[in-house]
Amino acid sequence: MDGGLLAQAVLNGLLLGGIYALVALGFSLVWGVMNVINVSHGAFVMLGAFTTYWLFVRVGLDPFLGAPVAMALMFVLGYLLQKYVINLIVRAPMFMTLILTFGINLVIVNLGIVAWTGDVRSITTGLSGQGVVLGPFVVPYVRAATLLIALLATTALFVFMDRTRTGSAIRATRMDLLAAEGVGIRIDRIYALTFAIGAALAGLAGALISVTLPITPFMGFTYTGKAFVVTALGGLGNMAGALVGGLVLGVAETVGAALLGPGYQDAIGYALLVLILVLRPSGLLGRVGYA
Amino acid sequence: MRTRAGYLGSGLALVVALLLAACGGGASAPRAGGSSTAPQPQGTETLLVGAALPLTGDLAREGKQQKDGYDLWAETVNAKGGIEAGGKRYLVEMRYYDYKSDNTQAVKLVEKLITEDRAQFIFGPFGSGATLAASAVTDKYEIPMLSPSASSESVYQQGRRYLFGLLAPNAAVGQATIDLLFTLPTPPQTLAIISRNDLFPKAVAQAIESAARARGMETVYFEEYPIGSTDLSTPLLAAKARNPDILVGTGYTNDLVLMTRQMKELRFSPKATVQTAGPTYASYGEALGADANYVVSPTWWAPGSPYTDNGKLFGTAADYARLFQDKYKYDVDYIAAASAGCGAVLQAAIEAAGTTDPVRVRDALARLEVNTFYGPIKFNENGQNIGTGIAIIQIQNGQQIAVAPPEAATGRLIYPMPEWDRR
Repeated sequence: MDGGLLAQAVLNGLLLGGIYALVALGFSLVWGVMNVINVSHGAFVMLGAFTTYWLFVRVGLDPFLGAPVAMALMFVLGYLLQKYVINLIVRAPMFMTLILTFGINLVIVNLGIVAWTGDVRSITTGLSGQGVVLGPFVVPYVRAATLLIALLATTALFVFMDRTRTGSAIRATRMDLLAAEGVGIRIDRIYALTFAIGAALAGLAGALISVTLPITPFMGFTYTGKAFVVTALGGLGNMAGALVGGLVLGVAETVGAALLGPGYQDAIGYALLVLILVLRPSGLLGRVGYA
Repeated sequence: MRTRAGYLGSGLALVVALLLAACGGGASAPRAGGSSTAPQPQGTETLLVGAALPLTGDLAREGKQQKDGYDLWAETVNAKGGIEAGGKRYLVEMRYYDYKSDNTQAVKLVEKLITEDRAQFIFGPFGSGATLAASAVTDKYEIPMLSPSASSESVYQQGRRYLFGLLAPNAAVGQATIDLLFTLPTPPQTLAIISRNDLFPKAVAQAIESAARARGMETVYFEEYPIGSTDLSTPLLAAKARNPDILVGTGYTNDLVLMTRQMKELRFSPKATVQTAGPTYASYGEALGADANYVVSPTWWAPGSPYTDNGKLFGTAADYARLFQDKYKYDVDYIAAASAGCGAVLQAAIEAAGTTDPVRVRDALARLEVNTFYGPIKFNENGQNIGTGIAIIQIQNGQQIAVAPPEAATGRLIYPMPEWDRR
């Protein structure tokens, strides 16, 4: 394996990792704050992707302009779903939330198949596949933009959580539920808001995926799996952790594939997960007991 | 305040309600094919044909194609008065179960069709894996099964007596592809292969490699990628570094859309890109737009294939394609064609046997030689159709142009394809 190829593999890994990070951001937030492993997260990614796709095909809206629409729709859907459905069992054992979100995932995915068939789709714009050639490297514009947006979204979420009253309330709820309730925080609203933000971020990730990768109604589960690995890698409920975890997973997959062969791509991700769980159970950037 | 049990109860009730709602909206098992059950005139009997199909889940699209093909045959044959055998007329009734893209379910449901529903014949589930599994059951009960979607030789080499497949063996796909490239003034010398690590894509990749080797071509790169890959840049870069004349990519539509998109991103321009199975589906071209151009794909059947049943059932391949498009509002491809082909073949075998007795129909199938809209049918000793040749298409200006065999070609192969920067 020569150096140039390896360097391009690292670059591709970072670009892929941007997508993983964005998918994991909302997943990690919901898990960290509500202790809900949202198995239907990938379904929101799928809905975001299809929203962007249909806006592009039917209205001719550029996918990067469709992304905010997808985010808004997913925000509303996430809010309602949390308020009226998931809230019913949010304090039940984690196993119940797994069953419920798994069921929601099944429903959304199969409704997607009924509505849109299982066909593979993809958004092809003038920019698709175009890129800038820097010496021996090729940087596709769309993937670079995805990484950039992932960085921006992470920063924005960080600022929101750190600098706003609502953000502080979410953090307080995560740290101590009873104390938060005691100082007058409306837990159910915070939960609905958190879930809505998670869903909106999933919608954004889906919108960006629809420009780079083929989409189908059953695309989501792969991304739920990646989000799980990234969250464990980076540290639960930690925004910077999701970003770092996503980039680490992306690079590990592409470089691992370059060194050992693409057959090992998935194995490498999960080997990394096991390694982290053994050596640093709270994740790369997680703090012990904080989750 | 509600108790925890109350929360749990309402949560569970909700899951059940949502699941029921989901099932009601889509296809659910059990379900009988109502549309093909015509009112029965005097003196006719019903011929029950069963199929377990993946009507929901990952393979829902493929399952629907097969169902549409089976249904179109049943409707067409019933509209023409049914099947005649031994002085009796039989109207066809199709019965389906949904195996939810889970192969182990497929086997159970085929057994249920035979033992509980008393299906007299079985049409295949989707793909080589499920077909191989189900063929153990059909052999056990001595019920012929016709498959429109299993092409891997290994499926037919298990000594099953009651399994018959319409798709030509994978080896024929490799042979036809390489033969086409060697009709060029300067044939390619090297190829790189990137294959999905899955039964059918690997089998096709190996078939192409061995046909290439027989012609003295050198395989400079052969790598497999895992099912569900979200990134193929690494194998593409490694292949690009070896500068092959031909890139062969095998997998399914989502893999191949991803592969072509990333080839463009990485500026990988071999002289030809051969992919299967994906470019023959309309969704491949729709997903990629102009980037799909110049991709070459071998296929088992194309609407332009020069086949006809001489007006017996559907007419020519093109007639079938038109009928299918009018009824189902999407483009037909080889699986949906082979599915109706299964019906045409079963019908011919029943007529030849003069009875619907499964064992005698099986013997008639083994001896059968018949022309259908799907192609000439003749089964080898393993039950695989070797009568129908392979067609090859190239996408040119967004259209699938047949470039082989010569008698069916509607255009010429564009080779070498232009580099990405020059399109």
